[in-house]
Amino acid sequence: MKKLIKLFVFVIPISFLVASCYPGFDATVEEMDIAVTKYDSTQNFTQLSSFFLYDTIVYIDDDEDSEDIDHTQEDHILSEVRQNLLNLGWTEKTEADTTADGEIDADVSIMVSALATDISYYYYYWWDYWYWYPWDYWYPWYPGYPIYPVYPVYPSYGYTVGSVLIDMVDMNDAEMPHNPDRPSGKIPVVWTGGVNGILSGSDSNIASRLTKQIGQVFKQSPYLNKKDTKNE
Amino acid sequence: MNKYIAIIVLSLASFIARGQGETVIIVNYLPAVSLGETADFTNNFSPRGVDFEVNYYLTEDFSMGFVTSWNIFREKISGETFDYNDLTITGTQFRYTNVVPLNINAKKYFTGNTATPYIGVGVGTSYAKQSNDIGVFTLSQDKWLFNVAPEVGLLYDMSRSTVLSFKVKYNYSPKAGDFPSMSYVSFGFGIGMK
Repeated sequence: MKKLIKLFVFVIPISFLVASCYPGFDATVEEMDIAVTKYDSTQNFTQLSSFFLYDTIVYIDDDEDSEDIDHTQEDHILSEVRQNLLNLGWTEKTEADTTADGEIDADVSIMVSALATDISYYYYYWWDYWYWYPWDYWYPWYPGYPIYPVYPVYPSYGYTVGSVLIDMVDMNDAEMPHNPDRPSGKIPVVWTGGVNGILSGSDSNIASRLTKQIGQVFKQSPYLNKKDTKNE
Repeated sequence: MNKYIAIIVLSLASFIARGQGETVIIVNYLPAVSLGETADFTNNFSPRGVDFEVNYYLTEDFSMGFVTSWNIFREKISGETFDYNDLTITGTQFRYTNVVPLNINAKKYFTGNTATPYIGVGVGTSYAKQSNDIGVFTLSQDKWLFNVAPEVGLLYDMSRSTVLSFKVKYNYSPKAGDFPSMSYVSFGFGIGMK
């Protein structure tokens, strides 16, 4: 019994001491920023060299659980995405490059979206893409679809409100659905860049953080660099 | 894992059953330095550590017992890019390693007047967990590992029932599967009761 008392006299205060000392870093807002990319490793990116940038950011929300996010950075985000692609040697195609059959002749379509709600893993499936992808913009003759709060193939860790997501779709390999009412087709997203959580909160440095993180998603994707390819 | 726990419990039970000899209970403050693959993940001198040991003297200069400890290592890494599954991630990483060995201890004492040097070794298992907080993500893995921990130390008699403890201990757990080896040196000083 005496030994038991000794044991508790020693162990309990020490346990509290260690538990109270459990370390946590004090992270700044910038230190919580991350840049995440994912790409299709089977894709030959050297075959892709021109892009069309959809000039509107799609806000993905949820009627039940959405939050206000900063909408004032739209032009800045699109400008950064465009400039990074141009810096990597890509050629931009615009509506002026529409072909006789009504298509815009670019290898990839760049879609930028922002989350007004958290999304968790595999909650949405790739075929939902059909519901919100702006086919009517890409193919003017195609019936327009409403923009739905859905998102495809994001990793199992989830993205939080305020995240900016940049998707690159290989339009050379895309297949249009045969029946607009029952979409089935193929949307090959060959590259995705994500900047997590940056549009939420009231930090005054959002613009500079966006510039840094959007630049980072391209920097860590060397396979997108056309200049190196051209030099080979 | 169950095998290790059974060995520890049976060993302790045999000591209790003897009901004779002297038992010394010691608590040490245990700062530590990470080494090897542990330092590859969290490279720092950590002031966060503690151990608790029970030594049962089979003879005047030899004891066996039980020891458990808890060490925490951490490191902040800024702006490093790494791959995780099919993702490439860049951001500030906040890395943590927690190690909790559970060992059977044997010690050989070189008895003196008031100061008693000793050498010892602990063998058993160790629970190790590594986590990496980056943005809102937490990437973590944990594992029970085999553990061996040789040590040298000194007990200083303050009174008939109280000793001061000083020791240096090396902890090592070999790599298991994808989980890296755990390796660190800890420096203990504490107080014990007879």
